[in-house]
Parts: sequence; structure tokens; C-alpha cells
Amino acid sequence: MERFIRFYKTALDHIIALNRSGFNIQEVYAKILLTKILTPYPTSYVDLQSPFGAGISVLVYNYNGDVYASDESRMLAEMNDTTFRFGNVHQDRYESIYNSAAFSKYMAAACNESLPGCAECALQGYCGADPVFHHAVQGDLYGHRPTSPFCFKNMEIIKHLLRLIDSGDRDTLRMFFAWVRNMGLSDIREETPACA
Amino acid sequence: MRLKTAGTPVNVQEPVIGRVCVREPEERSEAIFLGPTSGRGGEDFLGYRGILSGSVPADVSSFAAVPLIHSLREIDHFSEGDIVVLQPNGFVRTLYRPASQHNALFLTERCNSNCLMCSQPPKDHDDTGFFTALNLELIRLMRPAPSYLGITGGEPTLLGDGLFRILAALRDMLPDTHVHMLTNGRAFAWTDATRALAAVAHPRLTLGIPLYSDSAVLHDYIVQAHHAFDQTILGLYNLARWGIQVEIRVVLHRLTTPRLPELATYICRNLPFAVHVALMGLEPTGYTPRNRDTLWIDPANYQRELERAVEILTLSGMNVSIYNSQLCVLTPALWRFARRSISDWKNIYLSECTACSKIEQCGGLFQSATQMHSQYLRAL
Repeated sequence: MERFIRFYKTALDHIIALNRSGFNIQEVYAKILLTKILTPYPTSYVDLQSPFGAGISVLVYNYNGDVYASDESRMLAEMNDTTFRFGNVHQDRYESIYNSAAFSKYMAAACNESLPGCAECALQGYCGADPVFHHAVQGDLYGHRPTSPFCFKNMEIIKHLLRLIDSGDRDTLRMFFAWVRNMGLSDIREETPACA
Repeated sequence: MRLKTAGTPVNVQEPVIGRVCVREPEERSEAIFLGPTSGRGGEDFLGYRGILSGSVPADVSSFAAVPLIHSLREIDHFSEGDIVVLQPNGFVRTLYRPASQHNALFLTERCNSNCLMCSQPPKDHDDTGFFTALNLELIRLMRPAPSYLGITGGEPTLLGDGLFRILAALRDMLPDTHVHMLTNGRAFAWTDATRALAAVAHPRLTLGIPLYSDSAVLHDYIVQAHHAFDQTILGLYNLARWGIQVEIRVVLHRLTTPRLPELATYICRNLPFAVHVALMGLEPTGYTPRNRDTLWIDPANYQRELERAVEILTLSGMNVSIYNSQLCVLTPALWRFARRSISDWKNIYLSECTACSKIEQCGGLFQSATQMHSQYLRAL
């Protein structure tokens, strides 16, 4: 994961340089985080929601009618792990799926406001809980933050973005707002004061 | 520019509103004759709503049938088509000038706030019935329709149903006129008021609502009213919920400028639906000169905060204007946000401005700013 973060920062630097040279290109994961950091608007990206969006904002129906929290949940089932199978659309009603024991157990671990290591984290508002990931990787719905690749990756990327926002470089900040507002750097330069 | 004069009233039993006519109008019933009355008696003016004269008519006693104000101190400021009101005490106020872009309906002198920098200090007497009737008639008389009309006070929402009747009259009689109403928005914390406003369904209405700080304590202190911040914020949300356009107005002074960037952030985060944010220089009239020590900061000394606030707002895509500021004081990066915002009748330039090469682009000063303005004013 450290290697990935190093690569991510190098790639982001390159993308920022491309934008400065007049070529508009967005880094979409950064854009999702920046929307949460710089605006009052939500994103529809379920991985960074609390409560975790998979199962609430989205349900996955398999070919046989089985209902899962997400595609990752369905993939686990293909490996004989049906932890995130909440019911079957041919047999169960909407109410029984959402009131199932499997769903309740899953949702109890889906709010980072109440997860160990997340509850007191300063970056909580930008991040999400991912019980499916932690179940698959750490064998525990709640997960262990100090060794969680999910936590490490998001913490590093969010902190890197905050450092760039706070760097005092106006064009980087303009570019971040341009991504969030789906416009080019040159367009946003025209709208903002030409500050020194 | 003059909007008020006085003379000697004859037979003015109640306020008389009408359109100034220098020439014989097609229809006298809405007209107020202005001009010399020499050689003519009262019977020559039958059918007019009233008569204005700079001199004393020869036979004043014959004017008993038509309200008359004579021996006016000034008459040169009247133009054909102006709408004026003749008052029993001899005052003549100009309510509407067809040639101006700065007309406004004045709805009341009352207010439920008492801002430290109020340019129009409230008076606590119930004038709401009077102003409702006066403005309904004024709207009926306005022609040609103005492209823009302000609504001001006092606090217009204190008219209650009267306000909604006035807005409905504007909707029906001046449907193409953009209406901009100044209100503190507190009344709209109550959803029945917001519903009533939405029910008028005026197609071109914007509410200009002041917000002076992201801190409730500071905002409440500046407007001298408890819970004003909470009511204004709730009002803004209700207005947004019912689809009514709102503009945020911030007056720049010693209490508001230190937290201006924080206020800008607050607006972007919490009020992104505002169609416009106006950052407005202080108008040194009303309470302002009396609270000078509390309020005054030389505008040259808040340029950093202003620049930062404009940057924050524009990055988030908010429309921003700077009002009542002079280009020579404003940081050049902010010039393009400056508007010539001061109403024509109270807009002046100083003697040092005459040599300025930017005077055509500059908004100048308030008439009341002769004594209270930046010490850094200079010709560019």
C-alpha cells in the first residue's frame, strides 16, 4: 500500500501539471474526496459513505434472485461466503430483507462514527466504513484500523489533498474547485480574482 | 438630487398621490398640475387630483375644490410623469421618477431589528396601513413600467398581508418588472409567512437579506436583536425550500470585516443557493455616524479580508459584487467585482475625483460620505 500511495502522489502531481499546461483532466477519486472537503454537497460514491452505502444506496441482484449488499458481496458468495446475502427477491419481501439478521449485523459495523479508530478520527467526515472489505481482508466486519489498507489508503490520500489545499498554491486550489464544479482551470481563473 | 420639498398647503385634507403634469394631460383624474397658476382661478383646474405651484395664486380662495400646495421652496426637480404625494403638512415627496433606474417602494419606517449601522433608523409608529394604501396606488399609477423596482423600509414583512397585496399588485400590473426587496428575512422563519410569499408567485422577485457574521452572537449584536441570526438562517432555508430567490448582503465595517473570510466560507457551505452575494461599503448616514467608533475602519485596511472573501465565494461559483467602494481604495484584483451601486439621487464624487481617469468606471461615494470616507482616496 505504501508503494501505491507513492505512485498515487506522483500520478497526481503529473495530473496537476497537465491541467496547468492547459489540458483539462480530472482524478476522479480525488474529485470525490474534494467534493466532500470543499462543498456542502454529497457524492453518490458508496465506499466513502457512513453509514456505508452498499446495501442502503444500492442492492445487487444476482441471476438467481439472491440479494447482496454490493458486487463485492456477490463475489464473496461465489467463494462460498454468503455473509452479505440478505435474501432472495423471489422469496423475500423488501421488509424482510431489510429486517434480516444478516442485514442488522452488517449495518451495526457500517457507521464510522461508532467504529474503533474511526470514531475519534479527524478525517471521519470525508471517509467511509467498509464492512465488506474488512470482513474479506481481516475476517472481521468491524475491522482493525491500524492494519487496515482501507484506512491507510484513505488517510494518506485525504491528508495529501488537505496539504495541497493548504499549500497556498492558488492554481492548485482553483483546479480542485474546477474539478468539483466540472469546469476547466482556465474557466475558473476567469471567475476568481487575479490575486498575486 | 432632491426628492422632497415643501410649500403652503391649501385644502390638502389627506395625502394626495398623482402624476406630475406640466402640460394639459389627456385625463386629469390621475394628474397633479405643476406650473404657474397666474391668471387662472381654481375652476380652471377642476378634475386634477392636485396642484403644485412655486408662487402664490392670485385668488387662493377660489382653489377650495382642488388640493393645492403653493409657494414651493423648489420646483426644478420635478419632471413630467414623476409620481408625487402631497401631504397635509405641505410636504411634497417624489415617489417615482420614470427616467431613473433607482426607484423603490418605501413600505414602512418600522423594523424588528435595530442595526448599529442602520441608514434608515426605524420609528415605532404604525404606518403600515398608510404605506400599504399609498404603494398600491403608486403601483397603479406607474407608467411606463420600470424594468427594475426596489422594495425597502423599514422591514417590509411587518406589513403582513399588506406586503402580499403589494406583491400581488406588482405581479398583476407590472409583470415584467424585476422586484428586489430588502428584508432581514426573520419573518420567513415561520413557514406560514414563506408559504404566503410563495403563493403570490411573483415571477421576478429577489429578496436581499443581510447576514453579517458566521457567528450568531456577533450577528445578533450587530442587528441588536436576540435570535435574529437563527431566524434569518431558518428564513433563508424556508425561502430556498419554496423556490424564492435570495441574495445575501454583507455590510463591511469594523465588526464584520475581521471574520469576512469565515463568513464567505459559511455562505458557500450553508447557503449555496443564494443567487448573489453583495459585499457593501458602509453608508455614513442614520445611526452610522453616531456609532462611528464601533463601526469605522478605513476600507483600505480591510482589503486583504475582502480579497480573500471574494476568492472563497467565486471559487465556489457564487456571484459576487462589491458595492459602495471606490476604485482607488479597492485592490485592483477586485475592480471587476465593483459595481456602480449607489442610487443616483445620493451619489457624489469628491473634488479630487475630477482629475481621476477612472471616474467613469467608479461608483463614487454616498452623499453622506463627504466627512466619513477612506483617507486613501486619490485620483488614478
